Amino acid sequence: MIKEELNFEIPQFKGTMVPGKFQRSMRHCILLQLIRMSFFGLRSIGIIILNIKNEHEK
Amino acid sequence: MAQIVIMGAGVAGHTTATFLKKWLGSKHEVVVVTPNSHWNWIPSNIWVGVGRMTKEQVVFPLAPIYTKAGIDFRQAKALSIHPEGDRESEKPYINILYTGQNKENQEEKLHYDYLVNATGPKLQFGATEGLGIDNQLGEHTVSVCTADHALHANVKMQKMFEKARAGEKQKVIIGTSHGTCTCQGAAFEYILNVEHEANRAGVRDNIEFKWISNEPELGDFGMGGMHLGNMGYVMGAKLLGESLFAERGIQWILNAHVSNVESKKLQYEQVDGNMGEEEFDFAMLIPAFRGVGLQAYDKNENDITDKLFMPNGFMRVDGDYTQKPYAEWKASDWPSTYQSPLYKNIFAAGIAFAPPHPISEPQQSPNGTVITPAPPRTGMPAGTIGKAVASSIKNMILEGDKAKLHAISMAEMGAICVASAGVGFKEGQAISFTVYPIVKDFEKYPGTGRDTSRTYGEIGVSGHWIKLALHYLFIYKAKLKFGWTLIPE
Repeated sequence: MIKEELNFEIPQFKGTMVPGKFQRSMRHCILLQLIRMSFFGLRSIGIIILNIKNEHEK
Repeated sequence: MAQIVIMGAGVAGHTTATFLKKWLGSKHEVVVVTPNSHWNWIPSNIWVGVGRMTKEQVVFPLAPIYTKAGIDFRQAKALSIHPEGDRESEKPYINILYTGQNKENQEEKLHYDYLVNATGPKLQFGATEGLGIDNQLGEHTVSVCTADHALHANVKMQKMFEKARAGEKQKVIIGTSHGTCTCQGAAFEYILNVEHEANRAGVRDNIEFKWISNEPELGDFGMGGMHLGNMGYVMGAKLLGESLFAERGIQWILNAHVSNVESKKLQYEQVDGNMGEEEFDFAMLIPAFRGVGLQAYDKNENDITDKLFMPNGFMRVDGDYTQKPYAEWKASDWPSTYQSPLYKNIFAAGIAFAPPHPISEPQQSPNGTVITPAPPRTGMPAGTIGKAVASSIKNMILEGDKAKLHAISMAEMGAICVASAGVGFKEGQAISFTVYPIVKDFEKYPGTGRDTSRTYGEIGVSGHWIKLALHYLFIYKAKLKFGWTLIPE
């Protein structure tokens, strides 16, 4: 369980942005997360391809 | 027949050794020298440190894997390099001291044609007073740098939870110790995981969490921070880090060099000269890293350690090590072939090579204490460099003088990083990052130094699934099981 009570009286926390309940619940929505995981997988493949492409002979 | 000796069997050394053996076959000899009998998937030590994985799940014995692959395995510590041989013979060699295989404390001379230094870091607990002696962890704090350290950390964490359960208020401090530490990511994962476990155990309200780090701002990670492109926005990793901490009620101390650790108390110094003190009941502080302390000698047995290595013990390779101000740092300063400029048959891979300079902007307190995170070298760059070094050595063996080296610098290399924020198939979370390039290149990407379309981060349970999948995938690959070469570094 994540603490529900956010304490913005703590000076360090004043200048930031914290997701609300809906945004937090979306982090655990299986369907949405499967889609996001697929996109992250594609991004990762892109990085791997770039690394292979950038390796050159010298 | 060429003999290739690889010192170290972490991600970089293991990758180099296994690819070389696969490419060169039985015509050439590959020898791995490591003081450890087991391979450790270090990213999962975090989960051992909170009791969500056993030590056996993150380590496996190396000997059977190397026997199967035809690699000569020596459980020994490398002591010195003799790249010109000695007065008796010009054949280069290293001196090793056995730590296992029923040859404990026996020294041996091991000749090589090609040498790869993949020894990783020495955990320098002794660099911070009270944190430990030399490379031995002290009694006041815990560590997650090795699987055994992580086991011990979990025991201490559970004891702290028991006290919190009994109604005793507890204080946790997690972060980095020395002002020049790297590996902030591991500490970041650990604080989020301990907080997650405190929630699960129902003791969160009795525990205060505090982060302490040498970073100039949250989300720096020794990479000078990141600008993450996401849903059309470009956001600093500072905002992400602060948001994650604020959401969890974790306060932070930044720009800090921990100068002294005592029982349940630490003192620190900050860049602005402020001296502070914090009390704690449970603390995990990452130690400073340095090279493992290899010595080097020429054929007349003159000490040439300072020619092969930087003062921090990491190996000089093909980078530009000229001392220059931050404004003059360039992406092209970073090495690409990892070949020693003095001895063409010596390479360094992974953490063992000396970075030319940090990535984060250097800072110093009024007392002259350097408080600058060192650059991180995580599993992906270590594996990529290890494979490039293996390709170069293969070319040198097969093509002789005409051989070209494989080159990839960290300024033209991307990385994927998944930082766990809690374990659980449904309630777990992790922050998934892609960064390109690892070292900022302001000439190519003015403004942020990185390609913001390829530098990305988000948090969710899918990140946890990815991290769990990577755990099994990389242990599968490291065990050289069917199709291991198809799994990228």
